[in-house]
Amino acid sequence: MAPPAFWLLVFFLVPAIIVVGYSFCTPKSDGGMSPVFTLENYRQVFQGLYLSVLGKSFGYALLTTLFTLALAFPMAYYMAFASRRMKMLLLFLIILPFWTNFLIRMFSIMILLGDNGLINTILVSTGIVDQPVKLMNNSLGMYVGFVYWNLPFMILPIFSSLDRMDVSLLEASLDLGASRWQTFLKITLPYAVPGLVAGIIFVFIPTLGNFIIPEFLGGTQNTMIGNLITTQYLQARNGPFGSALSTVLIFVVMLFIVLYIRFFDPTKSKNNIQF
Amino acid sequence: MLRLENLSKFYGPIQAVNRVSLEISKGEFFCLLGPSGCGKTTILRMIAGFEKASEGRILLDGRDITGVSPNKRDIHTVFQNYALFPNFNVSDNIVYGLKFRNLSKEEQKDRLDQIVHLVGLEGFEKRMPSQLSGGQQQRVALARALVNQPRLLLLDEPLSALDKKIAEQTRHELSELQKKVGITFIFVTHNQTEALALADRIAVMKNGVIEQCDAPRTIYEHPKTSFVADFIGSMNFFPCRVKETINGEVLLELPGTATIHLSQNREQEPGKQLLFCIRPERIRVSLLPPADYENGIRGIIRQKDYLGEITRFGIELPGEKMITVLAQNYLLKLANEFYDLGEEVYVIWSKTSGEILHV
Repeated sequence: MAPPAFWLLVFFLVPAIIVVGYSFCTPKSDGGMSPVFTLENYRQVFQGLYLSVLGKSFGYALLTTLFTLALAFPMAYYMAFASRRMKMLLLFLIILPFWTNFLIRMFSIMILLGDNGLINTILVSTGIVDQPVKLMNNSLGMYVGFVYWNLPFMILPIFSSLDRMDVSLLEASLDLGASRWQTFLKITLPYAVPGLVAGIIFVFIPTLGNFIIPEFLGGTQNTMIGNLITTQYLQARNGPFGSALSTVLIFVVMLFIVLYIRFFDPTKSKNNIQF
Repeated sequence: MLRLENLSKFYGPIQAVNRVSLEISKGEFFCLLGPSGCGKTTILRMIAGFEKASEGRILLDGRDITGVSPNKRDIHTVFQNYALFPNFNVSDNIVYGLKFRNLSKEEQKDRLDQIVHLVGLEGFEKRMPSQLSGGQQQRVALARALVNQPRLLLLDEPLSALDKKIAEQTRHELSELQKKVGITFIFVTHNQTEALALADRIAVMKNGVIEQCDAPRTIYEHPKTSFVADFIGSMNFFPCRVKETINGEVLLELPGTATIHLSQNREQEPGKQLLFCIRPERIRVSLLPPADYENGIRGIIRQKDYLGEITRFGIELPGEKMITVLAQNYLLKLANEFYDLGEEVYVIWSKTSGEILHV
């Protein structure tokens, strides 16, 4: 068996099967689980509360993807057509935060957004507001954290796609009579599509399952499915129920990917660029 | 129909184009020729609208287009790398510009069919650019520009990316195409063979300045500067001094080498320092001395390069000056003349051959 297949099997497939297996087990009151087959966990999942959290999580992930896209695209565009030096510099700046631990970056956002944080201190001391503005422990803080974290994952694929484009194509389009906007729609955008597809997947899926950012930066209303799963495993010690939630989440995400790729397959498409 | 008035372009302190003025007539096949960095491509891009002129004006049929954006100039460009849109097939590439011109669908289809036939791309309409050869891509680029019937077509080094044989054939097709459509073509190249073969007029450029602008034959036979003389074909140069003029014949002293005669109907000042130049193919090599209507200098063959069609001789003249002579091998063979290295020969040319350039 080839090493990649072996790797996938051991580190992806087997754990997934274990989780699915647990979801059919019965929880014991002391925190363990007994291998008695039950569908009770799934019955619990499909009660309104948990499904609505799943739905909200989808909404948060979707909005996050849109915000990130709105910020990332202009950045990636600028970078793709910048001079070589600028390109290198910006790439470096984007990758630099990865050298810092994720939690520390979250803490640094908290320092920015907190009631006594940098922004509020400036606002209050200059008299723009009387009281600190609540920038954290609510949806705003959560979105800020999400977009901040996800930005490189959207910028880099889009940049990589656009970078392949020759400037002479833009000139040719203008030369033939197209306006800048028409050139963007007809020539630039199709080039960016593979990067867009990749970026959207890279942002949407991890955001969906994220539990740290809602925990640190979100409010009590912003509980996401990841938080629920964590709670079940760590606090409620209800492994089987947590597993059931996880399995449903995995299933929904897989469904989304299958549909997405069916309509936007980046590897084959008459809409996309043949190289 | 196109006039450039004192056109200049600065990139910071560097002047790429220096007060260039030019007038090009409708239907002309015009060439900007010169080495890399001479400013020819910059001028082309300024005409197309991709570079802003630092100084001067560009007028198209009397209308000042200097500040007009490229998509509004009725001028189209065939780019050096063709710049075909990879996400469109051949047909869609060709009609790309037509869509912005308010033509009915039938008219668009008509024009498309016409141009496809004209450039010889029937059957290729549905192919993608990545499935085409270099020559085919170029034809698509041409069709894409010409289908819009622009007033002016600009071509940036159109033959540079093609193999020699294909380039030759494409040259003929390009020439025929231009005559058929009657549109003014301006093309840029560093290849003087292309320029000589295709152009009605050539502007030879160096360092942002046009050194000479004339028909190919005039440029070749009567170059005005030593740069033009050397850039087109090859040339022998001899610094010389005027001795005197007798009966329309100038006597030129080539210091240390010989005194030669040049028939010119022009008086030259005695004592003047000039540059005498003569094309290698105008000279012949012989064991026999020159006739009275010819110049002749004795020399020793130092180099002999057999090049199939011709042999190039490098002959050392008195005063250690080298002269290059091109001989047709067929003629040499007919006359049973085979010259060897080290042989002493006469280097002979007619007194009417050669040009004088001012230093």
